[in-house]
Amino acid sequence: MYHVTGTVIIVSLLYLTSFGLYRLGIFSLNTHRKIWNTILASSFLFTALAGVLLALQINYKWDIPVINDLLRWHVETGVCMAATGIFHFSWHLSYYRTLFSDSGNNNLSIKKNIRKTNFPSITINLFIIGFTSTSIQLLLLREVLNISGGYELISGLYLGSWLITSAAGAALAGKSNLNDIAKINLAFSLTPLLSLLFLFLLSGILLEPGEIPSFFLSLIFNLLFLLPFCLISGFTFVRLIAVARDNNYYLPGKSFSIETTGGIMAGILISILTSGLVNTYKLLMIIILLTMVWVILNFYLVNTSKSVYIKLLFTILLSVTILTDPDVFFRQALLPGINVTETKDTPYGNITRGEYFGEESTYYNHRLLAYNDDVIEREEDIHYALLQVKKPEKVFLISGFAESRLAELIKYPIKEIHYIERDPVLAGNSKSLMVPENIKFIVENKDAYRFIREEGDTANVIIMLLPPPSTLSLNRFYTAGFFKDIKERLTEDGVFMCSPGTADTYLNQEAVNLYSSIYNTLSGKFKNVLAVAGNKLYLIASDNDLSLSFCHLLEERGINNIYVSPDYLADDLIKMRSDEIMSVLDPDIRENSLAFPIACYHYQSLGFSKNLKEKLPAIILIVIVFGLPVLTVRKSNLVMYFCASALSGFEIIILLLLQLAAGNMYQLTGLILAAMMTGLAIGAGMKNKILDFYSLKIKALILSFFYIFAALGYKTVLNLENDFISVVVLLIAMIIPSFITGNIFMNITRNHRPGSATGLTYSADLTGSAAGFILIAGILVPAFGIKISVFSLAMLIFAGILPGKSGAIE
Amino acid sequence: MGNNDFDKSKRDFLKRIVTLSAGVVCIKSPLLSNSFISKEQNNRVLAMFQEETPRGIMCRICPNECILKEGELSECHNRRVFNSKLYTLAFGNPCSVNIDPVEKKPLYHFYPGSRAFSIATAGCNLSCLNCQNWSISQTGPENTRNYDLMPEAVVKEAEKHKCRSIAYTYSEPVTFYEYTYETAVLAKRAGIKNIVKSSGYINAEPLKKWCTVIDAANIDLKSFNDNTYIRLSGGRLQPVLDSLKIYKDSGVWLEITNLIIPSWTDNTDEIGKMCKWLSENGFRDTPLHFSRFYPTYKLEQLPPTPLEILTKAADIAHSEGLKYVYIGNVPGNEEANTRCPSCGNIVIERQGFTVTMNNIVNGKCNKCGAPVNGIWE
Repeated sequence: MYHVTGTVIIVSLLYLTSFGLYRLGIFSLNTHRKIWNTILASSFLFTALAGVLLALQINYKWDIPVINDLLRWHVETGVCMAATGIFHFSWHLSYYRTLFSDSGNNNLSIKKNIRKTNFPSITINLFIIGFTSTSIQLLLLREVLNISGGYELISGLYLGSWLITSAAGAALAGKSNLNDIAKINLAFSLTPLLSLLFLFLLSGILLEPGEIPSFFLSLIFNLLFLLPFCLISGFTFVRLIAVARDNNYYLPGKSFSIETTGGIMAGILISILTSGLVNTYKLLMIIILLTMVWVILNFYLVNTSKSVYIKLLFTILLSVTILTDPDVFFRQALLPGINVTETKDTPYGNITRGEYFGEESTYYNHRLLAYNDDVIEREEDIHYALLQVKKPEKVFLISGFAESRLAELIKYPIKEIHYIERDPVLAGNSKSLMVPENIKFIVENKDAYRFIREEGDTANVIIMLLPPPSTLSLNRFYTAGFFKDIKERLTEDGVFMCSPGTADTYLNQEAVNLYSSIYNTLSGKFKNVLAVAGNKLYLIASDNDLSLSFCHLLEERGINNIYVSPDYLADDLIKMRSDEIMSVLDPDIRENSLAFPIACYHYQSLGFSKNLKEKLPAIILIVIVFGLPVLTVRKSNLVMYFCASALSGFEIIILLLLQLAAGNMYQLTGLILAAMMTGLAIGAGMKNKILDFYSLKIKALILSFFYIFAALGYKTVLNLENDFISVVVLLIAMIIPSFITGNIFMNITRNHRPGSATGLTYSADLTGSAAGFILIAGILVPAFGIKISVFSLAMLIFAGILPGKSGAIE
Repeated sequence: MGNNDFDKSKRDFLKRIVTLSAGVVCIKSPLLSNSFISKEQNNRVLAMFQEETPRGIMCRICPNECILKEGELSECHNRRVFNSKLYTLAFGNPCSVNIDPVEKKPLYHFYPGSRAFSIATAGCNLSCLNCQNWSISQTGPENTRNYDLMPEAVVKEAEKHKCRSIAYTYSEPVTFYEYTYETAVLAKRAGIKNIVKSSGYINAEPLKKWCTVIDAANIDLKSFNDNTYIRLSGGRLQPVLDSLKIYKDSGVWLEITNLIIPSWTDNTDEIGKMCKWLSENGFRDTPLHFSRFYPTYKLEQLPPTPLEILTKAADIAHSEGLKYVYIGNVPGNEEANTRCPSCGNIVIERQGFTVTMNNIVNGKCNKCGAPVNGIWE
């Protein structure tokens, strides 16, 4: 039993006694505080040391003789420390209250201490800040998706972490007296390397070999490794705004426009270069090196003799980077379980090949795609479906590793095989596969969603070997609409098979929900659906009768296998297992659709269930990091906060719609970002009498009505036949709210006196964006669907209008 | 108007959030919720091997030796203290019930070709990063859908399905010790054999008692490096080694599995040390299975174990004098056959889980007459 109440009472009484003695003049306030500082420090020290010893004892099972006593005193002193800490915190409360208020004191110091800078260089400086920030953001986003599993919640987490740490930097800049632009730029150019170093260090420290980070770990990971660069990036931008205003009479809106223009260029360039032309880390290193050399040559070694040496050094470094393959080195650090031999970034992800003790393996976005001796997987992937059809003549194989699956397919009297794979590298590799002359093997380098949707030939068997619906993009392939299209591409006796996950011995509730949603969706389109528990769970659907007597069918057809054979399987046991699975599936679970991607939500829940102990800490951390900062936003910036929140949420939705409409995410992400930044830049930089006529609240209302309109009309975009028109409509849809949001920023900051006010507005903008990403990507879209999510964006704007001030005159 | 109003609204907001959170905590607090108690009551049985200590009730089943206060749950998720007594929550409520070929356990020298009625409740006293049954091992019976299958019913089902044995498997039978023990007693009386598939992470005294009713065991020797054991599974090596000796000395038929995980347990020096220890400690006649790893649970970024390493491991084991060495989880691999330790003749030929040829007569090789260790029909 611990003396919690007793300790708190004793500490409080002692504190009051000490305070009383100070008030009586027995000793000074300083002495009173010194006493309690000493008590706090000692209790902290003891608690911490005892805690470390306890942790070591638990981790390494050390035999510490007094371990029980140690635990007891660790807790007791911890209680004492907590009680003392509360008093100590109260001494500093006023400091926290004024942390985000505009002191205005540093305004004069900017004018007094500012270095003279040339007019063009500020413009170029802002442009480069925007260009470099956005480039690094996009490139690291790809990497985070690779490492963490690829789903949208993680990208929301990443973007949210980016923005919140940038917001912190922006807020700090408002209070800072640092005016040395050279130093600020130097820090900006060096911190990307620091962030990269953190990325690899944290991977090594926080993750065991081969381990995929949990959601909670991903959260901490993102926050920590982004902190150095994003903090400095936000700081740099706000300081440059101050410089631009005071030296060049740029309004903050115009500075924002220039910076955003840099971001737009980065978005477009990265989109082009990452479509298979340049690997991620190579591009990242080139951008970092170019930024560093620009800073050094323009701020430190301007027109000096030493600049020649710097130019030479960086030329060598750049040449080495361009001519070698630094990505192999970086991938090796991230995939320590194999010897990386080759790595290639495609428009859709990363393909890494490795070798380990003579066996080759291929990873796609850091997930194992193919390996030697994959007997179990390749046989199960093919035979459970093919055995259902007496004379399979035409097969569509959607994704999967074609080489080994082909070897199983040709055991049947098939005449034509279509292999549909959207990744050009994987598709390209498959074109060189050898097939018997009597079989036509066609590689379709297309998005399978659109391929199946198009009118065309029918097949006897369609086997879909895509991963489970772990992302909103993959969720498309498990929807009612897609299954309907699948059925239309099947012959009358046709069979479809997919694998939505693993067939664990026991399906927990999250797995039941996931499989039920897909099973119910399939059952809505096909007369018969069976579950087969192999190493993966296979769902086989057809309007014809289906059979689980695989051993019997194998014998009948004369097919010889190693694993899918009577040597390993028994028909009665397969049936028993299948019946068991079918009995737990819930018919009341909602069907999966594009507009309501419930399967993706269930898959994410399944992922969370692997780390249940981390669920509550993760929620608490998200609320603290992304939710609580709203309390620091001033009333005058609430509109900015919620408008930014809505815009970032809308960006995620547009990206999703882009995938659904045009079937491509990676390449066009840069374009959508560029469209958003274009809107922001024009809105923030444009002075227009018509626009000025409308108050802030009216503009916010217009924005909210736009979102309502978008919620009602988004399906029209999905129904458009022409890809190009869909993309254009989506780009315009992105520009409009961005323009209004940018204009709102200009409105709020236009009449700011020089000082931290602009920093606070920018900080509110970033903080709101961060919250929006998490809320929309992580929760609303998967749980409630697109329509409700877009409607909620309008609600967010109202939340900003109601308590916020109408203008922002400071 | 100004900062004061803003501060006031902030304070109000904070107050409401704190009040709301406190309310949520109270509603969810186990101290106020009786729902879990009533759900567990039916399957609550007094735990064996418990000891009262000044700090609470100590469970002495496994080396974790959890000390629990009133209402606290053990690390294995299966034991809780009620009214100052420790109860197991895993009794008569398995969440997984299947029939498997005995070779799947893997047990190659124990009634080959027979079937095992396999059961498991939720819970485990380890937390392996590569657990393929994580959905039941990392939680407790109150969170799983369970069958109502008391020990008598288990035996009846095994008889109904003509299973030669009952296997306590999938999760960790140590954590449903009492259920295993009582079912095994009844099964023994009915002439049905009892198999455990376990990590071997159990204390000596409970294990010795168990061995009086268990007929065969397959124990996972996960690594021969204590640090790896801690990082990979949260347990220690020595208790497992001690358990192996107890199993052997007690006459239980024992087979050992070593899952070779790339970058974790594929170091050939360590495999050599392990095989040497087994050889020097009387395990030469104990079948050793080297199993191929496939990515699962939290270790999804590793490749499957290369065949070269598995083959090397088998060679090392043979060179250390171990007689029966197998490679598992590799369909089509010829190292699944049993050879006579004397003449090398294939005495049991296997294709997958199917026995295609059995040349053992009265426990001896039918070619040279040398004894082949195992429990044969």
